[in-house]
Amino acid sequence: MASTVQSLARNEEGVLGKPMTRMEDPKFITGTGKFIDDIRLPGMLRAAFVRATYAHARILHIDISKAIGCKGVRLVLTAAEIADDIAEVPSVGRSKVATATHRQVLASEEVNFVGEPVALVVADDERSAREGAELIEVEYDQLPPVVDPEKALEKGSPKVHSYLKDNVGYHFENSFGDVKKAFAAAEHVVRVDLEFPRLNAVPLEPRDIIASYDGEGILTAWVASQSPHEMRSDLASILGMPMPKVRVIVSDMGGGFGQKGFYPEYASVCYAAMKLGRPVKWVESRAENFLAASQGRGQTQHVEAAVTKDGRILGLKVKVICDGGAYSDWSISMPETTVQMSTGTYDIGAFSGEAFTAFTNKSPIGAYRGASRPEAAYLIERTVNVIAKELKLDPVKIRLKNYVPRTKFPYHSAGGLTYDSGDYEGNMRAALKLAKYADMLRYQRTARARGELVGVAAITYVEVCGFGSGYPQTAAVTVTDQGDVIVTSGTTPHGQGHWTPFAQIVADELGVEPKEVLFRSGDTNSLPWSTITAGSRSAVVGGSAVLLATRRVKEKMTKIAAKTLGTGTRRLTFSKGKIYAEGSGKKVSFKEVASIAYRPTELPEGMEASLYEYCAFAPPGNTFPFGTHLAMVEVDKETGKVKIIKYVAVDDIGKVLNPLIVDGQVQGGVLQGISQALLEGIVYDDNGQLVTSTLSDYHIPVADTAPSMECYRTETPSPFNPLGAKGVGEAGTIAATPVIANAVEDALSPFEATVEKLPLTPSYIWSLMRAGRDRASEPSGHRKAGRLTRRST
Amino acid sequence: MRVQMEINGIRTESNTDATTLLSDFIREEAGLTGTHAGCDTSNCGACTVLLDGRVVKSCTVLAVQAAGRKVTTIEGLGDANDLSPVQYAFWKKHGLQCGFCTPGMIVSAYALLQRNPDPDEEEIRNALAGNLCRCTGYVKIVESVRYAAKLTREGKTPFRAAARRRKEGEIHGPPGESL
Repeated sequence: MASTVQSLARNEEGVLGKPMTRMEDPKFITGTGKFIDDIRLPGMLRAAFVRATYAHARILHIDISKAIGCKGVRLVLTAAEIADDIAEVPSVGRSKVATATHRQVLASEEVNFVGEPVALVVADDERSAREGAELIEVEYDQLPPVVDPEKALEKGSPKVHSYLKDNVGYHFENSFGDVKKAFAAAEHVVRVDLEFPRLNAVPLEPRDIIASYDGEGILTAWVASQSPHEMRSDLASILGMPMPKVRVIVSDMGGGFGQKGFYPEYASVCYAAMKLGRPVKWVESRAENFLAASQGRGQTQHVEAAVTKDGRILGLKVKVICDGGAYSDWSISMPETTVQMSTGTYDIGAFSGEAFTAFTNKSPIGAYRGASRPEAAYLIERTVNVIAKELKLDPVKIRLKNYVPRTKFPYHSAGGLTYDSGDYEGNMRAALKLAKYADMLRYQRTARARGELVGVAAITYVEVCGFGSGYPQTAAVTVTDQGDVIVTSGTTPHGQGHWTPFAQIVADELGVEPKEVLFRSGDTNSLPWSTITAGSRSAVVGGSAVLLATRRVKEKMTKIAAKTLGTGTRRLTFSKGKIYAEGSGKKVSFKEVASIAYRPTELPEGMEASLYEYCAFAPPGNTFPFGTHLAMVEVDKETGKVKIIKYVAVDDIGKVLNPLIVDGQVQGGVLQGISQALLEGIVYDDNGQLVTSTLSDYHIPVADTAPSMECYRTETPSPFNPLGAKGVGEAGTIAATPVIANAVEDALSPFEATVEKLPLTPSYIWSLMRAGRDRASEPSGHRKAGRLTRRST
Repeated sequence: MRVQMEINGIRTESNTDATTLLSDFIREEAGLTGTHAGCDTSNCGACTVLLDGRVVKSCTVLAVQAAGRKVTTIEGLGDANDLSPVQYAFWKKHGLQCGFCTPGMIVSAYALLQRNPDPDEEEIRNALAGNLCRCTGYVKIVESVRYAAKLTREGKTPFRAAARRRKEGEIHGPPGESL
């Protein structure tokens, strides 16, 4: 694919690419950030929800009488009260392959997961609202819950939705090359079954909203959302309002990680605010977040690899089943991307993939950092590890043997995607050196000789990012008549630190200081359109929109400066607050040109006054960041506890805008990836009751057990955007899980254990060790056959 | 009931319920919203404050238990023109991302440095084990605390010098920039 993007030549003296500290930090380190719960409006009321206590049940009766009489309670809403005024929650829309579901913002006839909102209570304060909610009595008739996604797809399974023919929410198939031939030609077929549990993203700030309805019929919602304009569309469509009458404002936001999309709760709260004519705030509890916010991952994977005896992968068959939860939105199709990315960094000639998302009586599946790509990297990197183990090949050499060669980019993968650029072998070789891989192996040998369970692993991941060719990101750049520069960004921050790198982009273009660039985002009134902040697309797509809008401003300023200086436009440079005519020594200040731009009589012929440019950037294709991560772990023989001795990340995210921020993204991502290998897993019981509903049951990492790590980079620019950036937000979360799982499996090699599920808790590891000991003590003739099928040739 | 305490050196008095948590008292009665609540189970530590100089999770203390005592919140450690070494170090070393856990994290780090001016990595990690951060992976938080310890030991206050220069009109831009 030819690049249609003019890349940005970096100015070595500029600030772009330098490690600048963040401009937004002073408010956060002094406790003066404005998260939703920090905002108080006059007359504001508080809301609390009544939630389903069964995974699957018919609602027979809701008695709200006790709550209505309760002190401080202003309003109680159930489906019956709002039915005439409120539309269904938007489902999968026009997608042909996904199954649409019918969901009301408050459950009307049936509840389909524990925690589904059933009623809303609005009161003078939070305590009264919660007490009111506790007084609402709901009578249910239980229905059989659908809990296991594989069983949900079997014929005769109880259905989540009686109006659907089965529990298939989504089905996808693709293939490439001659799979039959590849498997016939292979000397070995290796089979791997994997489980990736459901996870909660656990943003430290839970979901929240304040809705306010004014006398002019304008609804304003301050809401923790990763996509303000899409939130506006959803609210408007459910509430039956014209879009311009809904304004969404995203204030400071305590993390998102994919979880902060649209939720029906928001529409109920807005409705209540409209009905009462007073602002209403809802801040969920952590338990509510575990119950009703979306959960990520939740995949069962079945893989078959056709391999030659020297480890060349000829073909791959993949089947992915996703535990989809009760209702469908766009994220029900995520396993499609898992299938498409499941050939990873490898040049595989034949492929067939199939994905199902099954409806289950659980909270709906949704994006979580990496959304479908951590699952894919886990699938292929675990598979390659098992191949190496079963064929007794070196796990690094087998990777080097199968990589897509550097010369093949842009590369059309067997999974059906076009990778923009890459150098997997170069990255792996650099990583082996940087991590001192040989020393790691030496340490391992010595430790093993001492009887310690030490494991080493190196994996290479590739991910797909940007998602912008059919889905642009927007930005506007203003230079005021005083010469102040304002970036209005379509992509909104929730920890990433957009302001600083965007200011760095603008500063280099316009020759101003980054600190002179102000940043705004998150208000649907300040841009006509924006799209979601997700998929590591903020720098790649949003940053490029900032750059292109800035260039348009610069072009106009260049024309004004040329007229003022009496020169041509060609040789004007912007530097240190001035615009210079090269050669002539003439110059004019940036501020002066900005001022002239607002004086129509002094402008070049036909030019309109003001400096404001808008850009909706759509790249010609997606970006494919990649990298090698290495880990060395030690498993405690007595307890099964895993300790990470060394962790090294060598990522290639293309051109870097701000290395300080990139390091932070990688480190945070890696710890989430490690955590999903070792700690995290949502647990439902057989009745669909959530077992892990607090941070005491669902563990996220703490400082004293988190490892230190080393971060390095190689740099292969993307040809698909002018910044050459590839995206970094999700890299660590994608890479860390397989490398930890592989290292643990390596540590457990004396037990011939194969890791099949996550998280690798001490008890699971202990059970793997015990199974290994049991196998070893059995007479050899009775030992269980391996999973490797040897073909006679 | 009438509850009175000293928050960041200011006497705060209010009629409050016996079951009101200190965290709610700080946020609602004193209007100091830097102290955050991120869980229901005292796991997250975003509500960490000092009570008579000792680290507490303010969601596990009743407001009445703090009656007559001294409370220090993130706002009491320093403002944008007069940052404490810990606040400054978190900023310079990128010890925060979304900023939600940051106030509690900084208060815990501050308390650590009060009792141990030269902590090693393990001591830092142990001292922060009650504060969850979902963004940073803790690596840069540890770096921040080490840097804060160094600044404190060397008696350096670059942030105060910068504040003075800002006052005198030498520096512009967001508070604290270009230090």
